[in-house]
Amino acid sequence: MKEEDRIPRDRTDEQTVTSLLSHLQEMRQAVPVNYQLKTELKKQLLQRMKELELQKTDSVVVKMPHSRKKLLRVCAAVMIAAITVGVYSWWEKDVLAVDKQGLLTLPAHTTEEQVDIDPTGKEVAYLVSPSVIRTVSVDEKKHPENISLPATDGEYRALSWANHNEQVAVVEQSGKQARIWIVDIPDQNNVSSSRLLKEEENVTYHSPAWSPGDETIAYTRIKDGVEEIWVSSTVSFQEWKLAEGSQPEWSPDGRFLAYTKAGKVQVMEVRTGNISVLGDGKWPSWSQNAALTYTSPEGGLVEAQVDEKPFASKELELLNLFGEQVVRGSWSSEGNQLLVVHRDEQPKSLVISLASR
Amino acid sequence: MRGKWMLFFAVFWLLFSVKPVEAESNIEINVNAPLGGLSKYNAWTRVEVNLAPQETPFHGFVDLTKDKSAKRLHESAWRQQVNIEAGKDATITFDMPSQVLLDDWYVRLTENGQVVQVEKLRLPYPKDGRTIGVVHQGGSAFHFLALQPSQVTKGIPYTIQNLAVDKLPDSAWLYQNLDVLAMGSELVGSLRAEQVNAIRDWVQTGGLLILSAGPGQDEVVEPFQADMPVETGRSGQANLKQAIERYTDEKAIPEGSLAVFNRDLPLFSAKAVGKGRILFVNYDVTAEPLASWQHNSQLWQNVMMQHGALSQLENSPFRDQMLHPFLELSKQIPGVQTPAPVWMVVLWCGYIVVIAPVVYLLLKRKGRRQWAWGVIPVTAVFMTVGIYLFGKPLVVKSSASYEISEVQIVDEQLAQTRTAATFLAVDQNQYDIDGQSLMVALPLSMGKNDYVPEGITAGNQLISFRNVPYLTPKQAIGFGTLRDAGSFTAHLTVNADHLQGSVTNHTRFSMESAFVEIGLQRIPIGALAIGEEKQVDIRLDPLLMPRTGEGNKILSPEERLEQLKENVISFSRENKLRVIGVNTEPLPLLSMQEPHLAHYWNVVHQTVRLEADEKGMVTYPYGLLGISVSDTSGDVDSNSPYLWELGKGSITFELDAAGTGLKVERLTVPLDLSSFRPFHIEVFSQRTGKWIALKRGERLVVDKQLQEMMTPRGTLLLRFTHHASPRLTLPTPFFQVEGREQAW
Repeated sequence: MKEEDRIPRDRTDEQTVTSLLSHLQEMRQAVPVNYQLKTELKKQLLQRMKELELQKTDSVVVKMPHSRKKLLRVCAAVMIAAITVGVYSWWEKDVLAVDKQGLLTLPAHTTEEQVDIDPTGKEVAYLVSPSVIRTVSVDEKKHPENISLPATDGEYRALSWANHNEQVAVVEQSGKQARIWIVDIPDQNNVSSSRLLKEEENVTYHSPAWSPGDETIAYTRIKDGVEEIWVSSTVSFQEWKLAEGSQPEWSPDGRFLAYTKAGKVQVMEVRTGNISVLGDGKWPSWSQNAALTYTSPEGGLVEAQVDEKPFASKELELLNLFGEQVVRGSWSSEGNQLLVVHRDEQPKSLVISLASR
Repeated sequence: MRGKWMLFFAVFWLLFSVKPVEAESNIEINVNAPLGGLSKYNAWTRVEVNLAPQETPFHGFVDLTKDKSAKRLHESAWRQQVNIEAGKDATITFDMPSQVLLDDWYVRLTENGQVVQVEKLRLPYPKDGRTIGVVHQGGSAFHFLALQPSQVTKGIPYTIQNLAVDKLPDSAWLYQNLDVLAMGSELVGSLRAEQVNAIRDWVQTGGLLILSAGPGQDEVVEPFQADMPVETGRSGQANLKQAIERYTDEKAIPEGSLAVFNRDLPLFSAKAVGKGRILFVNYDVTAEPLASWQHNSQLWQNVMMQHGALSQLENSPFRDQMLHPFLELSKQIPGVQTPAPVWMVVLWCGYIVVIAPVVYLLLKRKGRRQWAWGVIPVTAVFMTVGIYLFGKPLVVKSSASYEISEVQIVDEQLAQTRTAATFLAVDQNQYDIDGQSLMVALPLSMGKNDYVPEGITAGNQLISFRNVPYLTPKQAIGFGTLRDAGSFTAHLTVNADHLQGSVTNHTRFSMESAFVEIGLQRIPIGALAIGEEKQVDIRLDPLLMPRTGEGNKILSPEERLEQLKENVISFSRENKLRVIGVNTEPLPLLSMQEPHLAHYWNVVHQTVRLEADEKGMVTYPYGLLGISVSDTSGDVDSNSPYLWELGKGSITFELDAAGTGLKVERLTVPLDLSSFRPFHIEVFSQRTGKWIALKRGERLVVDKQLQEMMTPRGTLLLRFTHHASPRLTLPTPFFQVEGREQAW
């Protein structure tokens, strides 16, 4: 085959130009597509701008409803806050809930006056046989501590935590002799030391209670079956009888002394000596200057206001105690925690719980 | 470019960092102190700066400053202006509590705002302990006064210093640097009248003067005849054994006799003069055989004890001479309500967190964000001005001062005053304070940790404060005497456990409230107008410790104010019977020389003596007499001045009955009280030299056996033992003494 036959020159050139032209044609057709896209995009953009313009106009028109919305939101927030505060206040005022159920479970022979709460409500102290005080941190931040009491042949029966000083008053009965000791609670710098405040023969002492300034201790003194409330000074060698009765408790401002006599809770105004009877019960304890609680014979907790005449008393609901009968309720001197003592039958024991408003 | 910066830094460095060149000085500076430089930590002293310009006169300031640098010329400086001609000299005095001298101080001379000369102040450190000054020809006379201190004063040194007569000052208050001044020999005759008067005034206000005169040494006795009348011209001999046997239990008393100034007087006799005491020694202390007797020191200790001198010496309480309780109370100017720091924080945070961001957001919204550079600072300025205008009248409306004063009555004619005042000027940055009625006044300013002397003084009584920053309080303290202030007349007797009698206000002050303080107990007796008499019949509370308030309780502002006032009333507390009155009458001891609102709070008090009952017996009740710990063994600790913790050990108390100055007939310790019962208690018998065990729960009453039991120092020793390890707390065994007044 000849070269000319195989590749006819003129024809080939003609075909190439044609194909090039067709390619160009295609290219030209393709370019308008981009232009089209561009146009389309431009169109979309304009459309969007129009929409935005429209939206902007709309927003001017709907301004009021938006601020109203805002106002509504604020109102709702305020209402929620108000409701929260109201509920909190109501809760704070009236509801007493046990929040440390069964903080301690003590042997059945332990009595309710062998345990007390510190002024801040952060620690509980109780007597451990034969001559040891154990302090337990409520929030368990501190390890339990043992404080040795003077080793005597007597039995330690009651304790009371001082209001301001790091001290506890402890009552001891040794045969016919009754004693009250003031025990310093040890800390990092000081070792515990005990001072004999009072020793007397042929009597028994119970329920010591520090005065608000810790200058005196009131206690129950029983001689020949007669219950009396005596006061011993912690700064002088003085002592005096205050009333007939038992279980004394000073109000935080020192104006009143609450105590029990013949199964009734009474309040004496210390300055005048005026006595008022609140009702049947025992173990009065002050939560505020003019408010105290005591245990009713049915095992409930009654709150009384002594600055109102006639006295306003009402039974306090104690949430989370599940129908247990309260033996004693004792407020920390700052009034923020209530030490609740009740007895368990199975197994027999004295249970210490903590409640707060 | 870099070169320019280098030049800038170089100029900056030269301008601000390099100390100005001190002018060439030709001034000779000499610093001295009275009493040969002897000063006591617990007293005020004087620094005497003598300046002698050699060639050119000096017209400038003498500064006492802690900062020797030439910078900050007006900061922390206590200044006095002085003009001295060349070739002459002048002495400038700076009076201050000695404790101020514990810091490093510089004497700095400035002239026309330029430091001329700086020299470090070099003076002996103040003595911490008891100081005894001796004026006697014999170099080692009175050396035996280096007493053996009891447990209470153990560790506190006794300083004995011989003093030249010309070093004795003319001002009574400078003698407060001495606890005892012992004088003898003809040197006493060379005292100037001013010195004698100063010494007599010092004794009146609590000084202890010992005069030793041998035969014919009238010059020792004569200057003090008015206070200590001793008949002259009656020299003679005294039997040594008879003369000293009551003071010593030593068997080997030197035989023979001793030449005495007055043969009719005992070897030692004492007399209370005002608040002080004079002990007259009827022989020359350098005379033999006593001077070199081996037990002479013990003899003197017993003499001092039995004549109440040791009690006065050992029980002199520490008084903070910077008067901190007074200053702290004076800062509470009535009507001046300083803003609580929390408000400052709230305002500051309010600006940072709220105002500035809100302003920024508003500007951004307005599209004027760049205005923030101007608007925010301007808002800050407006806010500052607003706070100033609104807050200023809330803080204080006009200049004010609050002066806290104590008037300690010595007798009808003489009273000592202490005062501290705070001044707050509202619209001026300079003012003067007049302290003419004081002996000494010191300007103060609150430093980093404590008050520091700062201000300009002239003649120790005129104080000037200059360049005082806005609403910055300034303080001053001072002391002096008050003549004819009158006195309280008190006839008080202890009958059983009652204090009975009357108190009449013969002072020139009307008291808004008055008290009788006996030991640790303060009994209110109500208001006491001038001339008013109050009957007193109070059951004494056998306190075992003072009432100290409620532990760590956080105090309200009112309670805090009450506590500050209590601190001022207790400032001069001692184991004595005091009548105290409080009032708010004007008593301008430090008065601001600008119109201002002046407030005052004054405590007027007087120590009174208990009187005898119908039987002639004087009773000193519990808590009024000194008790010291003479010995301890085992585990003994104390966290309170009146309670002792004892674990497996013992503690021995020394009950000072001699401090009463009575002829003691009965001493009672209430050991029957419960707190003492857990301890094994013994009493020391001086006669047998043995400890006698006491029955548990029994009150100790010593009357007939008093001579057998009492030590030659006039004390009773009681030992308490606890055999177990856990600690028991023991109260201080306060005691009661009954006795009769004895003639000197």
